[in-house]
Parts: sequence; structure tokens; C-alpha cells
Amino acid sequence: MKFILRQAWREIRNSRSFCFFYSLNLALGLTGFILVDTFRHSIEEKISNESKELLGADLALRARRIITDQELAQARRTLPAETREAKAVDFFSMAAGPTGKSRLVKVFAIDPGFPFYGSIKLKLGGDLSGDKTGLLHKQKHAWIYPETRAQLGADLGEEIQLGETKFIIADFIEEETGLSFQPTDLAPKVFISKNYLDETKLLGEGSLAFYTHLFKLPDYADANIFGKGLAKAIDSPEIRSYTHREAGHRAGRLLRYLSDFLSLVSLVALFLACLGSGFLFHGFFTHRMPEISTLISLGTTRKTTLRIFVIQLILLGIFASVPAILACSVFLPAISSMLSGFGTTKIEVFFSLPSILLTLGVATGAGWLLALPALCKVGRFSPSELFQESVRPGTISSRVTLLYSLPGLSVFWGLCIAQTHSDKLANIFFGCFLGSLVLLYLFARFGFKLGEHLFRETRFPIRLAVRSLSRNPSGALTGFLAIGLGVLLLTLIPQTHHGLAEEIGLDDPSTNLPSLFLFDLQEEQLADVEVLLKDQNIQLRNITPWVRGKIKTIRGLPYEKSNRLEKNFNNPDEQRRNAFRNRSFNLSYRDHFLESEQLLAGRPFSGNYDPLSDKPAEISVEHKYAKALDLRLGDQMGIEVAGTTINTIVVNLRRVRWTSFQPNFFVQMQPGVLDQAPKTFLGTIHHLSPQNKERVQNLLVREFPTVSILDVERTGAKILQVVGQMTWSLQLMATLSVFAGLVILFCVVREKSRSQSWEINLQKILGSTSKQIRRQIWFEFGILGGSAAIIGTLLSLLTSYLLAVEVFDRVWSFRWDLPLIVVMVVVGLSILTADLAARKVLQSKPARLLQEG
Amino acid sequence: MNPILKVHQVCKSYEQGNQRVKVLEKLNLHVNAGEKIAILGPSGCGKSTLLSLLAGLDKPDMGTVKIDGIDLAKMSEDERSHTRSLKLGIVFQQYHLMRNLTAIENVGLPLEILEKSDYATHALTALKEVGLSHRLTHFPSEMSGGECQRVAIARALVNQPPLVLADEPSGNLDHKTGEEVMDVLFNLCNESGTTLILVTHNRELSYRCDRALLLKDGALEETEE
Repeated sequence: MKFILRQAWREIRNSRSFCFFYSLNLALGLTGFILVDTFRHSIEEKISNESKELLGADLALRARRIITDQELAQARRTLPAETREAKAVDFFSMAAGPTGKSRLVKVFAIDPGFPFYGSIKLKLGGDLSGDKTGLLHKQKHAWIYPETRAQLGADLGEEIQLGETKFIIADFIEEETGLSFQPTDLAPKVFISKNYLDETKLLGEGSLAFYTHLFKLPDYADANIFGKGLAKAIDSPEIRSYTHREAGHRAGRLLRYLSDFLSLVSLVALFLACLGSGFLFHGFFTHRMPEISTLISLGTTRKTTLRIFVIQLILLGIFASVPAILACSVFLPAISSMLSGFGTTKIEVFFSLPSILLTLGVATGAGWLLALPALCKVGRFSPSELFQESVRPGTISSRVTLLYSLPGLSVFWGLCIAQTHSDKLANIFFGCFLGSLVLLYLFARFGFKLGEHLFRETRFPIRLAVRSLSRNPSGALTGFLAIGLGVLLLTLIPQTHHGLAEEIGLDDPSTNLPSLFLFDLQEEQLADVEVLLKDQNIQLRNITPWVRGKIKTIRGLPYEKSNRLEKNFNNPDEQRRNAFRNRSFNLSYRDHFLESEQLLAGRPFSGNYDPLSDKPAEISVEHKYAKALDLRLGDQMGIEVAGTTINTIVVNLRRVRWTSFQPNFFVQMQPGVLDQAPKTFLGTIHHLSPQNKERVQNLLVREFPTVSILDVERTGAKILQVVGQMTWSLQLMATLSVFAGLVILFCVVREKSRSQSWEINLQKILGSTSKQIRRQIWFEFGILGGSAAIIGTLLSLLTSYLLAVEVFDRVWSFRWDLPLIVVMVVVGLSILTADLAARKVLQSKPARLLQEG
Repeated sequence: MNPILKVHQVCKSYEQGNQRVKVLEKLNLHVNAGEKIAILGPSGCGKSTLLSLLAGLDKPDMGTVKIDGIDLAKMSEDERSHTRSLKLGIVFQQYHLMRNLTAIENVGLPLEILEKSDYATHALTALKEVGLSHRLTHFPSEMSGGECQRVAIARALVNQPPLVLADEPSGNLDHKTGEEVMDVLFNLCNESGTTLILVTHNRELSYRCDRALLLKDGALEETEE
């Protein structure tokens, strides 16, 4: 072992240049990997350690309706006697300041005792635990966030109007915990006491509000065990029970999505880094073949020889981890500040031992796994070649290379699964990644051959450049794959973001986006609201009824609760599907499609429902909702509305463009069925100037304080801000991939010019000037970088289109400037990189090179 | 005397396209301890193949190759490697030094492979014996061809193997340097009583050996001189 270690160390000591570039490459990939893994761990730690604070309790029941006393009694029977309870209600509402300025806020009406865990940190009152919030419950006080102060023009001691009651601003919130179910908030929170909620008259029939019942168990009780009992005891599918851990997972959902996507992008950077390091090692190892043969001829076994190089790679992996970990510690504060304001959960990003160990594991393992195709040569070549003029390293077929690449690819796939919370996402990503790799490989393999054929009559340097690419496939393919994949990632992310921004269309005056979106309009208010608006020459459009329904049966079978239990909170795919299944849902009725809807299958409604017929009522179902419920055309569904079960039949499936901000629903029923059902209304107001919009909003809040109004522009901007933050961080990671690609290109050129120094020198001897050879290298790597960038960009356009069709419901638009800039920059950088890497060989004297050759 | 090397009825052939080319056919060779044997023959006659078999780097199709009574053909590859490290020293025409090791490290390598801790002392002695005590920390790229071959000779002899195989040791060197290197090799083998099998084109060198054998038509025959 001593000999192996010593020999491995000598290999490192005496191959400094190889070791430097190998470690630099790997360090680049590892930097992204450890950054994202640290981020991921921080989220998990936060969710695990602070889940009680995030919920504010050990267990909770939550519903979109009042939880009845009977249901609560049922729940209490499963819990220990010493359990403490508190209620909270949260909902969107308009708040108006003393000057009439208004905006949408999220009202949290809380009971004394809330939160049981964590605290509400106030500017004046300090850190208040649940037991110390007494003052809020004795008077009509409100705690608001400082940003609301400016938006409402209301300061400390002044009043804000919530519904039909005024509350005095008693303090400003600096930080708060509890009831963190949602990954992000579209409106700032306002805390009031639940004692005064009824006086606001904000919650009428059909109003959208969440009722939460929180439980604090005695210290000895295990929340998971009692959580299971609580879930079993609740029959109603409308009530969801949460343990603090489950609620924490929900709150951290957005950050977890971000960490999933970041993980995948960082894995591409890591893969590229390993690809580059693998390529470098292949060149190094091939170069070392005579020495390896000599070692074997001196009595070293092949196994020992292999161990020397594996140990060398492990040591280099450890060396590469050090700068990666150091770089990560430099970037961590930047990540923390980048994430401030992202989602509702504040994350402090910090180093964790598991992240460091995983990075070390990946660094030491990845190197030799990717070196396997090269290492396998040790078992195949014959050292007896030492007695011949030259030692030729054994060539291996591409099938064998592929076979030896499988362990590396399998580990990469395993990492994809381990680094994300979704097997589906990891598998789709891995499939796309592998597909892109194969496509890029095929383009390069056949493209260069075709190029050689097409350019055989062109100028000498171009002809020679294309021939060199075609006939030295190993380096050309590695460089092509690295740049192609890097560019694919780099352009895919902003392309997708651009599609979303275009769809939301905040900057486009011709867009049909409404200015204001009104909800919680009571039936009796509707006519008055229309009149008020008409007086202002404004039309209330898209007036749509909103009815709450419950699925009772599907295809005649009871909709079992067991189907709807969340089995795995860790898996976002399941979470989303179950969220669809679990929910009592909103539905509406109308006889026509909106422009944001598209009929996918079936037929339009046959007209108004005939109450005298015994036919089921016709429904139209959004296609993804139908998929989640496994509903097909012609399926019958029992829907309970206000205690009455309506038998319905699916007559069509439709696609909805949710980003249109038009009143859309998962289920639309034919007119004539729900006309008498209790409902509220939605409506939109279009084409208001910013000043007019504020004026109309303030007017509506003054006259109809219980109506809620969503400022679409503000909401769109908030969505784009969140998407923008995600895009920015993903983009940073993608840039790392491109940088890794360029380092690979540098290594490829360096290795290539070193291995072809004899040919380059011969060219000089035959009369080529350094300038000519340099130009040839420019052409060669300009073509390589340019073609890889073009193919990478085309693949990214295709991928972004497929993503738009499959995930974002066809939200896609082409951004032409970005691909153009990327291709031009990559060509320039490729030429520059190649020039730098080949400089040493180009500057050498031909006679000296010939002697070496 | 017991032969240090006994090659009996060795056959070796290679696939060349669709044809099988016989390189060695029923080749026999007995070499006694301390003997110096020269093997002559034109290019392509199978000298390299024979050396590969003697070094245990390849296996015969038929026949046996015994070094010190041990049949190499019956050994596993690892056992052959171990035997090589103990019983054989090899000098190549192209020196085959480790480019990234200094002269002293190159020479000490066979001892290091045997996990001997005093490898540096022995390597130093061996380098002094070949007249390179002033080149200890030089890399192969910093030495002349003659010096490299001296390092290779020192490496071949450092673990005092009973048998040294030398493949055209002066083939890459000019006449004068070649002679100097061969003097070193012969002197050291004579002093230590090491058996030497020297493959060469050079008739003059063969005169310095106890016997000269000609490899012809896949078999060895005594030369007339």
C-alpha cells in the first residue's frame, strides 16, 4: 500500500499541469454542487427543526369552511386531555387607510395563545409568544407589516378599515411564525384578534377563508402518532389534518422546488466538469501508457497499477473539493441575501457536515468512475509492446467504452434522484439530459464528417480545420458536448422565463389582461357594483358565479377518503396530484368558452339544463384536473352543492390558460343547474390607467368594503419577481456550466495541440507560418464552438417549447436576441480559449519539437 | 549446473488478418547461471516475441518457460509479475524510464514494488556503479540517451536478479556511447555473476558473450563463429 500511495503521489507531483486542470475542472463542478447541496440541506434543516414554529403548533386541522363543534369533539377524543387549542382564520380582504388608499391584504384573525411555538416579533412590543399577545385581543388593534404602512398611508395609532370595522394600527411586524402553509404570499399579512372578526362582516356565505384549529400537545406526546389518529378521526374530505412536519413541508415547497431545479442544473455543471476531467485523464493516461507498461514489466501487477491511478484520482478529488468548499463559503452570504424575500420561509444558508461529506464522496468517486473507460485499457494492452518500436495504448471499441460509462451514468442518475424530491422530475431530467447528450453526439459525429465532405473545396485553413475536427473525434466530441450542453442550459432558462413574462404581458399594452380582478362579490352586491362602475364609465366584465362543490361519486363509486390521503409529503408530484384530489373544488357555470379556454375533446354544452329531464347535468373539466381524478369523457360524477348531490356527466375536456387572469374554473357546469345555489361572483375590470385603477379600487373599497380586489399588475409583478429570482439563481448555475464547458475546451485544445505538436511542427517545417496555423486553430475551434452553440440553442428552443406544451400549457414565445448573442459570444470565447491554450505549442521552435517527437 | 532458464518446445503464433503466422516453433533454450548469451537475428524473426515470453509478459501457445525451475506458463498473471520483480531485470532499447521520476526514483522502483524500505540506499549504490552519482535527481528528459540507458541498467540490476534480459541496449545510441553502456552492462553482470540474455543485431557484441544463438525460422541455432 505504501508503494501505491507513494507512486500515486509521485504521479501527482510530477504531472502538475494535468493535476491543476483536472482539479480546476472538477472544482468548478463541485462548487455548484456543494452550493446547491448546502442550500438544500439548509431548507431541510429549517423545515425539520423549525416546523413547530412554522405551524405554530404540533397539529392542526384546516378547512375552507368552519370546522363544526361535532367534528372538533371527534378530533379531541383522539388527543391527550392536556392538549391546548387555538383557532385562526385567514383570508384575503381589502384594507383601506385613513385617506381612502386601499390594497389587498391577507387577514389573520387569531385566538389568544396563538402561536404556541415561535413568536410574533413587533417593532415596539418586541418578541411576543402566543401567551403574550393579550393586548391584541382586548381592543380592535391591528398589527401590519411596514410596507403596508406606506401603501395605505396609515401610521401608528391611525385606523385602517377591514370590512365594516376600523382597527387601530398598534404595532409593526418585523417577523412572525405560525400558519405557514403557503410557499409564498401575494399580499402582506395583517393580524387582528378573532374576537372582532364577526364585526368586520367580511366572511359571508361563499366567502373564501381558511379556518385553522391548532393543537399544542403535552410535552410527552408524539405529534406523529397523534397526528395519524387525528387524520383518521376526521371523516370530512374538506378538512385536512397536519402535523407540524407536514405543514413545514408545505411552507417550504417553493424553496424545495427551487432547490430541486438548482440541483439538476448544478448536476449538469458537475457532469460537464467530470466530462472534462475524464477527458483530461484519458489524455494523461494514454500518454502514460509506456510508463504503465514499464511498471508492469518491473513486476507490478495490473491491479496494483490500477490502484495507483485510482488513488491518484481520489487524492485529486480531495484537492478539488478544497477550493470548491472555500468558494462556497464565499458565496453563501450572497445566497442568503438573494433568498431574502423569496417565499414565506426565511432560510439561513449554512455549511453542513453531510454536504461536505457528500461533496468529498462525489469528488473522489466521480473522477475514477468517469475514468473507467480509460482505466479499462490497463486490462487490455500488452506490455510486451515495450520490446517494439513504440507502445500503442490498446484501443477499445465504442461499445466497451459505453459499457464502462454505465456505472458513471448510473451514479449520475442516482444523484439526480437523491438531489431532488421528485423521482418523476429526476427521471424526466435524466431522460432529457441523456437524449440531449445522444443528439449532440450524433450531430457532432455525423456533422463533422459531413462538414469534411462539404468543405473539401474551400480555403486551406478551413479545409484543414474541418478535417481535423472530423478525424480527431475524441477531443472534438468532448468539446462539442461540453459547449452544447452548457449553451442548452444557458439559453433554456431565460427562454422559459421570457415565455412566462410574455404570457403575463405586463409590458404589453395590447394585452387582454384585466387591470383589476374582483372576487367575493355577494349576489346582492352585484347590481350595485355594476351601477357604481357604470357611473364611472367602466364596465364590469367576465361576471362569473363561484360555487363551492364536493365530489361525492365518480363513475357511480363513492369517492373514498383513502384515495385522498397524502401518502408522501416529500414528493411534489404526489403532493400536486393529491392536492387536486383532496380539495373540495370551485365550480361555475356558463354556456360559452372564454378566449383563455380551448376545447380539447368532446363537445360544447347542449344548451340550458332541462330540470324536467332525468339526464345528468353536463360538465366541462380542465384536462389536468381530469387527469388527476382519472376522469374521461362520458364519465359520471356526483357533485354535492349546498347539501344536494347533482348527477353530472363529462361532455368535454378543455385547456385553460391560467395566466390570463380571467375567471376560470376546473369544472364548468351547463347553465340552469346551479342558478339557485349559494354563490359569490367574480368579475374583471380592463384598461384602467394606473391613477384610474387606484381611484376605482379605493372607491369600490369605500362603497363595498367586503369585496376583495386583486391588482393584476401587482400580482403579475410579484409572480415574475419570484420567477425572476428563480431564473437568476438557475442562470448563475447555468453560467457555471458554460464556464466549465470553456475550461473543458481549453483543456481539449491544450491536449490536442500537445498531442499534435509533431504535426503542427511538421506544418511549420513544410512552410506554414505561425499565423496560418493560428488561423487554422481559430477556424477549427470557432467552428466547434459555433456549431455546438447553434445546436445547443436549437435543442434549448425545442426543450423550452416541449416544456411550455407539457408543463406551462403552451406558454412559449421565441426570444431571438438571446440565442444570437450566446452563439456569437461562445464563438468568440472558443477562439480566444483555443488561442490561449495553443500558444505554447505555437511558440515552440520546430526543431525542438521534432526532437521531442 | 542447474539451468537458470529452460525453454522447452515453445511455440507461439499470431493472428494476422485471416492468417495465423507462426513466430516461434518448438524453440528450445537452456541457459546456465552466470552465462552470457547473445541472440541474433534479422528484423521480424521473433526476437521481441521471445523476450516477451522469457519476461513472462506473454504466454506461449505450447511448451514451457522455466526460470529458476518455475514454469511461467503455469502461473497467474499476478504470480508472473511477482516472479519478474524477484528474478528478472530488463533493459529496453528505448530505455522506458518513468518520465516523471528522477534517476534515483527510477532505479529504486523495482525495490519499492517489493516494498523494501531501503530502496533509496540501494538505488544510490546502483547509480554510483553505473557512474551517475551526479545525476541522482535528474529527470529522464534532462539526461542524454547514454545516461538514460545507464539508469535503465542500474534499475535492471538493483534488486540483484539472477537473470537480465537486454533488448538492443545500444540500439538507440551512437557507437561510442553504445560501447560505453555495453561495457557497464557486461562489467556489472560479470561482477555479480548475473546471467545475461542479450538480443542484438550487433555481431561484435555477441563476441563478448559466452554463446551466440541465431533465431531463424522460429527456432534458435548456434552460430558458426
